[in-house]
Amino acid sequence: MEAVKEQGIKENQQKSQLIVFRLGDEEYGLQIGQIKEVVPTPHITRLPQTPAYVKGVANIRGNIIAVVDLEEKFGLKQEEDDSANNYTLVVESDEVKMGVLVRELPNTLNVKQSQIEDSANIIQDGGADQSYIKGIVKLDDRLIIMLDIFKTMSESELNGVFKNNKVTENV
Amino acid sequence: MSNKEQEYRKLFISEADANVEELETLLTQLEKSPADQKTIDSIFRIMHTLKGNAAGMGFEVISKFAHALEDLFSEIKQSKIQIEEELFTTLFKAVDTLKELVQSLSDDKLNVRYRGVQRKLEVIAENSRKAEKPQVEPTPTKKGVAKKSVSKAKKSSTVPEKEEKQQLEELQAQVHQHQAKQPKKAMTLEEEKEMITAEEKDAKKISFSDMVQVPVEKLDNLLNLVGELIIERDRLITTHEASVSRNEFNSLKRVSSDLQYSVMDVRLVQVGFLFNKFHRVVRDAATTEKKQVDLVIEGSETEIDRNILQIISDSLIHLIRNAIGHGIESEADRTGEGKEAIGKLTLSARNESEGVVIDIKDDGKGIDVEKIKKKVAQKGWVETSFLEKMSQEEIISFIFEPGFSTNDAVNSISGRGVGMDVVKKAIDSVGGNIKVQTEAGKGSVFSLILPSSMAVKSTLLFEVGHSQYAVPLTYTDAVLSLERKEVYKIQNRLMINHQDQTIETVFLKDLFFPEEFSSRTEALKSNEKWNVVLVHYNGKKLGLVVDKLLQQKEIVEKPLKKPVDFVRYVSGVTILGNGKVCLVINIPQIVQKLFNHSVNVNATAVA
Repeated sequence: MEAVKEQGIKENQQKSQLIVFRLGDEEYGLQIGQIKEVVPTPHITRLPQTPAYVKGVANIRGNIIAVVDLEEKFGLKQEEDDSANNYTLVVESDEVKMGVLVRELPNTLNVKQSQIEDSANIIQDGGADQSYIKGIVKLDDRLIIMLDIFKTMSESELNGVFKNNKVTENV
Repeated sequence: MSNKEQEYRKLFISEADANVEELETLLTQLEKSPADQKTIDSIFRIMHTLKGNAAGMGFEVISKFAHALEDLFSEIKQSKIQIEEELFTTLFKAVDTLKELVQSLSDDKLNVRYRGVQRKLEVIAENSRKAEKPQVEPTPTKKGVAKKSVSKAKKSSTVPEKEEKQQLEELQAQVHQHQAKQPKKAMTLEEEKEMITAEEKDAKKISFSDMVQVPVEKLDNLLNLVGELIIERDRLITTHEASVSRNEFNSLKRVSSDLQYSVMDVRLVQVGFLFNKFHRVVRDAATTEKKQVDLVIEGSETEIDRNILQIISDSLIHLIRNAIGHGIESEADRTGEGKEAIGKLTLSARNESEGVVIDIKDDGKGIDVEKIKKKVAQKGWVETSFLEKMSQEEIISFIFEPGFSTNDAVNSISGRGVGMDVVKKAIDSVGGNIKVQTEAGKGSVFSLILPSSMAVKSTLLFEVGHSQYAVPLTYTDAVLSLERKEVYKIQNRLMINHQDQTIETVFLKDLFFPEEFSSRTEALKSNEKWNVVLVHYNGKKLGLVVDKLLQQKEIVEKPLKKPVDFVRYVSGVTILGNGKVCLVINIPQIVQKLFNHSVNVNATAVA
């Protein structure tokens, strides 16, 4: 049984299509199914009471969605320059729809399931940031970090920052 | 015939039409599966409702006819009548007749012959009752034997009354139709003829009601779509404004606006439908409080969006109960004051430019401002010396704070300290406003100012930091352009004077984005004029400094969606003609946040 199963996987090689984009110097990946579209970044209207990495809301084909800058969130921003964020990746889950700012048009990449390493094998020590990492893809000379994109914008995440904001505001 | 009567008549007809239609469906079902008790129960229930409604309206013929059918079904329900094919012919004929009877209400020329069918129904029911006993008799239990012997003993006093009555009816029935042994022949020849001719006359006529019942959900959906259409129209017009002549879009504009208003119009209902339910509420509340109260209803034909009416209905009940519980005095107190013994509660609605205004007015003792002050001081919300300086309006607004109640005794109607804040919240949620006027000894008026439709909001557009914002006109008082020297700095706060009132003023940008470079510091240095939007909420006033004032615009507001739905300062968004997103600012939240903050500061200062 076990052997048959393994062979099945090998024959199949269970391919996975990723969308790869650059944040800071690193490459990040998302499963293609999570991405709805990629559009030139529209005008963004800022929202109050949100952490700085939430850039605001934008109108993308009649839908009003929140747009985030993950470079800012992950502390990967080198300089204060928003000029280069030319594209917005629209990601969608059952509950949430949001936009992620990227610098260049993302690429697609086919990888085998076996090439994706579970994050549990890589990182053992705790810390909030790691929980957004779903896995790592190792190719010859590349290392792509697989993101759990909706965790970055989960309610507790946003509200936590929001509450901190409130405190400073009251002082 | 009065307007109201006609309205009820219309309502009855449309309801009865629906009932008859349902009956037809149920009967068809029953014919297929005659043993289904649920279907029989449903039919019985419908007949009962129809009978009651008809009797209430004074349509005796229909009521009696429905009664005959109900009787028959009561027998069927108790399985006393075997359901057979033959019975269905009669039942369907009866339903047809019932339908015609209902039709005859709106068509005077229609002369419905119903007696024959009705008689037949009655006969079947009677026969079943008569036949009941022989069915019981064969049961070999002792009880059955006992019963039998009793009835054979020619009505001794031990016979239950019910049975006696039944026997009486039986006798009557026998007298009525002594010539007939089978139910079918129980009709006179004339009646039978009547049935046959009726059948031939219009066997295949299907009638349609003039009313359509639509689930609210579908209307909501329609309204949403129209809202999106309007946004899309504005976007199109703005993008092509330069290249195409303005007239090009005229008919598009007209048609889409007409469509929007038609959809809004469909959703309007008369407030009377809700108001009329309050007679009972008033009666119950008055009885509990042992007070005498008359309810006067005015302007019940005023129209308002159905959803708004639904949202505020609980608030209205609460306000009415409050007026009876807190406002109107007991009979003894009233006569002592030289007032009429019976209190008067007026519920009125009218259309005004800002929307629909609903007043709940009582002629009771008015709101005791001193009592509120005491309570506020007791709760430590505001410093006592500060309280003295507050206007009556400001003090009354405390009753809308969560956890406020002046009534010490807790009863089922009032005094639990919940309620007024909930009322306030409900009104806020539809973008409305509540105002209180009171005069000691004369009574109080609670005015609800409500938008007549939730679909569009009249707003004022302005700009802050290259983004456009909208503020609902229901919350705006005035727009000012002020010189730097007209603004006073008190401690760290900015104050302005407007119509002899000192009003705290904040820079919207500093409030929204406190982590950024303060535009206030900048403005205090420069000599440019300040644009201030004066807003009010719950009696509190606030000035908002903005960069640029734009125009007034009717907008279609959409709520913020996840993951940013927790933002409180913004109640929703809309898309402007240029495709950009415009935030609708949430005045109640902003005012509450700022003023609660200052109340807290005061409280800690006291401590």
